[in-house]
Amino acid sequence: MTFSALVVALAVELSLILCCLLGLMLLRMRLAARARAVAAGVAALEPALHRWLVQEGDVLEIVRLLRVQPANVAFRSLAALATPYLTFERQRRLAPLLRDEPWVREMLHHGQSRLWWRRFDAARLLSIVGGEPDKPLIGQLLNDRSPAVRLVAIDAAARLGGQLVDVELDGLPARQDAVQAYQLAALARHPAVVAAALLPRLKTDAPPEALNAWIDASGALASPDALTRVRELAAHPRAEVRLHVARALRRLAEPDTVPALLRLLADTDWRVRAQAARALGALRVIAATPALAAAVCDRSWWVRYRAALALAQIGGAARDRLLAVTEGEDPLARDMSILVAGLSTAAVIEMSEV
Amino acid sequence: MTPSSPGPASPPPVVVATADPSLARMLAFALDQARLPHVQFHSGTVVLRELLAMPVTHHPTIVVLDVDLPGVDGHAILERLGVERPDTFLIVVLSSHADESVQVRSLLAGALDHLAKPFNVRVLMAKLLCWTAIAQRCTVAAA
Repeated sequence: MTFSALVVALAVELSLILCCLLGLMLLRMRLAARARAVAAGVAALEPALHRWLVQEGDVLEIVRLLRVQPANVAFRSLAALATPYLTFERQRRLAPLLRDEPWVREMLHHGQSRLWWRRFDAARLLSIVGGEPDKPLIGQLLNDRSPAVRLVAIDAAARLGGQLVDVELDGLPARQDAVQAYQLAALARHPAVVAAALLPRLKTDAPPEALNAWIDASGALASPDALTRVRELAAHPRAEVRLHVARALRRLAEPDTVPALLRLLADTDWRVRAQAARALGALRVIAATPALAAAVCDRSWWVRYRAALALAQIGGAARDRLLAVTEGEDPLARDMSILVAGLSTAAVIEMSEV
Repeated sequence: MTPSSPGPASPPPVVVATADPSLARMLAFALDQARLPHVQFHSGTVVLRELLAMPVTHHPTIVVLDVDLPGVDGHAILERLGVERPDTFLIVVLSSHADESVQVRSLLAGALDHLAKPFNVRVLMAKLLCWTAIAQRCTVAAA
């Protein structure tokens, strides 16, 4: 390579690096300018929002303040304040007033964009202002190729219920655990609608994988109707299903739950027995004390652990039974009861919930 | 610490501990509207130190405690106060986590209530007025 070719290559490389640096600086300046504009938008919007939330002030003042801002800034200001401060009930009051604002229409138009972050913004806005006419767009975003967009669309779909909830529930078993947890949290904000959609799905002959996800959803909702149906699945032939049933039943504090859980505490699968012990502790079932004391001698470490924690949670005579095991003859039960009996009340609470 | 100005015969100020400036402003506005004197802290370490330094009286102090505080988090503060100053504070926990386990943990650790964000601020104010009245009745009964 000649000297002049080397110089040219160096010059090209240097100019590329400079271009990159310049690009980064411009991007940073643009982001900083946008952040300043959003901060100003939030500052302008916040007092009106406080007046509305605290004193039932004029909601139209919020609409007017958002209208005078650029669409992007209005959206980001609203999003910054809506998530932490607007309850679902307040969102429902604000949504119809905002839905036909020009800036909202402009942002929702991004739902068809080729750029995922624009579709994400549209989905985010739909979770605040979405209404009946937006159902087709929300349905489309629920099946978006970007997982981030799909996650945000779940919120919008759960708000509107109906067929969109069916789509979500049918897709629930196929989601990864983290996505499923987010999806369940979004669905739990609308318990009545989701419970109604869950009831026909909770059947013995449903596919086990799907049934497990729907049982978890019933637990997340803590819906008595759905959980009563879940309780009927306690004798399901598949151990995985019984495991999910035992886990969900800790949220159904009814007398009929106790015999179901006691049967699960005697299950052949150790995972089911452990979850049943946990549920009996969470429900503080005093009548389960003898069965739990026996379960502290279980051959599985997890069952012994959960049973001992349950006795500590129930307290009183149940704790006395736990202390009695510390002097018993079974060395494994003795070790476990010493371990759990030595925990502080706060530690018992925390470990029982994990 | 950002104090408001309580009158001479007012009850002890409501202690608000949150690191979220917007929430702090909203609660300050709401407490002013309800004419409840209040004092604000933005750090877990500072609020814990100040609460432990408060003299023990018959009048329980109401504390609105955000879980997500820098320094010491709300749950740790709750547990520490439960051990070192039981029956001295009426603590309301605010949290962005609505999980059952987080709520159960707060309530079993001695919180009067657990409100998951977004919560209805008017409902919170109604509850605070109610608890202030209960706290005053406790004072009268103790006297």
